[in-house]
Parts: sequence; C-alpha cells; structure tokens
Amino acid sequence: MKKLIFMTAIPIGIISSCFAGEPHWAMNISAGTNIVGVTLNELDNIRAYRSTDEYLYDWDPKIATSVYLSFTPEYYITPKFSLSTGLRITNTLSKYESNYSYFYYKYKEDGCDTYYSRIKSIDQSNFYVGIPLEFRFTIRGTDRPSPYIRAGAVLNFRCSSSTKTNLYRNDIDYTPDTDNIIPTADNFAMPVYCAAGCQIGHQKSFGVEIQFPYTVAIGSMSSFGDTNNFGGGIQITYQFAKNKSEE
Amino acid sequence: MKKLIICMVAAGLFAACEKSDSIDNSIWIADPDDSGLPKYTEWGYNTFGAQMGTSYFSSCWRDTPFTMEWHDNDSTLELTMNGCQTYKGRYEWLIKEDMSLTIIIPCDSVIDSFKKLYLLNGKFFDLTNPDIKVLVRRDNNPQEIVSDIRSGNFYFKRVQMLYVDENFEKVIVSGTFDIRYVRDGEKTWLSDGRFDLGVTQNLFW
Repeated sequence: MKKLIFMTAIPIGIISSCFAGEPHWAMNISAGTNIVGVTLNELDNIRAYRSTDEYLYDWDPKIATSVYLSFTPEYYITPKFSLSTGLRITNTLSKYESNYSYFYYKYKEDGCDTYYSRIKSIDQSNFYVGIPLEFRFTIRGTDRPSPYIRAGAVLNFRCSSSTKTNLYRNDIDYTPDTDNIIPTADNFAMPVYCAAGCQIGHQKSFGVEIQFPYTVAIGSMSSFGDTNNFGGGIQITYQFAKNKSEE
Repeated sequence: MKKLIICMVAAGLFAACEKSDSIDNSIWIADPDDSGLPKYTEWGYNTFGAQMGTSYFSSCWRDTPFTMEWHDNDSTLELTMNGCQTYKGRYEWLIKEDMSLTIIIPCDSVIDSFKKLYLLNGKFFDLTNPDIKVLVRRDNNPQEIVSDIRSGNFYFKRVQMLYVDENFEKVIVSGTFDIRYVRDGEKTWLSDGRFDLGVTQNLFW
C-alpha cells in the first residue's frame, strides 16, 4: 500500500508542479554545430583500390559537419514546458577522400579513350533553410543555473550546393567536371536530436547545450552517402525579451 | 635520450610518407552472384576467372596474371592468362594447381605495339576456327594444344586507351570467354569467363 501511494504521488506531484505559473513568450538566437557520420555509397566513377575481402571501400570513417544559426520564438506553456519554432540556416560540409594519397576518378570517356584523374578529395558544401520544431522541459525553473532537456527536429530544405575538387597534381591545367557525376544531396532532410543543457546568467538569458544523439532521420545531408548514423553537437543560445513569471 | 630522438625522427618520416594507390595492382572484386569469379569490370583490375566444373580457373590475386605477344611471322596475337585452379574449401578458397590458358588468334591488322590493341575493341573470335589455337598448361607440365574444341568464343568487349592526369598510362582490355573441349575423352569446359587486364609495355612482347 505504501509503495502504491509512493509510486502514484511522485508523478502526480511532478505533473502538477509543471503547470504552476503563467504562459509567456521568449525569443532565442542560437548558433551551433553538429557532426554526424557518413556511410559512403559506392560511386560508379571511382576506381576501387582494395579487393572485396580487404573491404572494397575501406575509407576512413567520414563525417559531415554542420554549422547553423537559428531564430526561434519560444512559447512557454508553463515555466517548465515550452515549444519553439522559427527559422534555421545551416551549412553542411562533407568530404570524399581515400585513406591513400589519392583515388582515381573517371571523369571522361571518348570512344576508346578513357580519362582518369588522381584526386586527393572532393569537398562539398550544402546550404539549407529549415524550420526547427523543439520541445523543452526545464528541470528547475528557479533563478539559478537551470538545467533542461530538449527534443527537436528540423525540416531542412536544400537551397544550394557547391563542390570543390582537390587534384593530386596542382600542375595539371584542367579541372575534371565532377558536378554532373557526383550526385546532389537530397533536397529535403530532417535531422532529429535530443539535447541536455543549462540556462545561466541574469534571467537565465544564456544557454549552453550538448546535443546527443543527433541523426538525420529522413534524407541525407551529404552527396557521398547516408547521414543516418549517430552524431552529436553543441549549441549556445541567447534568449531575450523574456517576460516570464518565476516559479 | 638518443634512442628516443631516433624513434621520434623515424616515426615522423613514416608519417610523412605518402601512401599511393598503384593502378598496376590486382584488385579482386568478387562477383556478387558467384564469389569464385571476379565481377566483370572495365577498370583494368588485372583479374580474370571462369567456372571449370565444380572449381574455378582464375588469376589468383597475382599482380601480373597475363602476357601478350605479337608474332610477326604469322600475324597472330598470343594472350596467355596465368592463374590457378581453385575450389571452395570449408572456410576459404584453396588452390588445386597452377594453370594457364593461351589463346593465339590471327589478326587482320598489325598489332605490334600495345598501343594498337584498340584495334581489338568489340572483336569476337570463334574458338572453333581452325586458325585459332588454344593451349592449356597445368602445374609444371608442358603446354597442351586443345585440339577437340566443341564450342567457344573469346570476346574483346571493350578496349580502352587509359589516360591518367592527361598522360597516356596503359591499355585496358576487358571481355568474356568460354570454351568447351574434350581432353583424353573427358569433357571439360571453362564457362562464364571474364577478364579485365591493364596492358603496359612490360606485359606486351
């Protein structure tokens, strides 16, 4: 009986405390960076350098790195629960390279003539405009460092891409055309993540959080492979125009 | 202290060394439908293979598994594929014996240089043609002329002049082959054969 009362009272107490206080708005400006692993796809125009039993494409583990800036109004339903959405601009960088000095890339075929280029790496940058949607639960809302946990997703729409090919030999007077052969990243991608952070400073205006796990659940943010591996990130936030009531 | 410095310098030198991917190496990409055969490719991976009953005739991961030779006297081109006969053991592939297959084909054009191999692009040869010779050698035994060929073909599906960084590098010769013949009353065949060879000056005589 005591156990039943104990197990019932605690969740009721937590839930009821969450609804104390009045709803209010805040505005966030955030900057952050994420890293996620890339599972490379086979590209038709890249020559293999190892036999099947030596792992065909035994590249080093590859990552895609994103940096972003967000502008997100946040609505505190209660001092502990809040929703935010807004605008995020993201730039994602990924690289295709071998763990040798170069790889062979077939860039042209002309009758019986075939042309390879020795390439050190191919760098790609994808620019996205996205709509984040986040839920935050503030663990302690009193006027001291306030830890919180957050879950979110971003609907990212690719606006532009650029590719740079780094040749092995700099004295070659040509640039192989990789744009038509390297596939473009998906036009739509949706990263999802969980985060744990802390709001600090006067009126808890500053926030620092660690995002983990971070993964791209839908689509890929790299042309070179899938970005649905687990990664992480870090974000700093400045929150202003607060008019909250303290708990 | 001296030993530590020497070790650090050695480590630095090793780290500074570039690892280069040699285009002359043999690269075995297993056929997804039959791991005893190399996948048909046109990259100059220096591999070949064919089914041979319950075993396989293949290049056996040798870096230079072939040679080519032009005979001026009778205008024939000789291609010798040096490999081995393999079979699947319980856990790994096992070598039964060394084996080589030589095809001597008459050519309408003079191919006295490896750079003229492009003339074979798309050429199909019927091995039952009496002007074409097929020889097989097993282990250290002398080469045997295959005399009773029931059917067979050798197809140079694609010949490519390969340029790397705009410089001519080699000729890639890729294609398929199969042959059915009778040897000492025994029916033998090499089927579903494929080859992908990178020919340089050193491999063309």
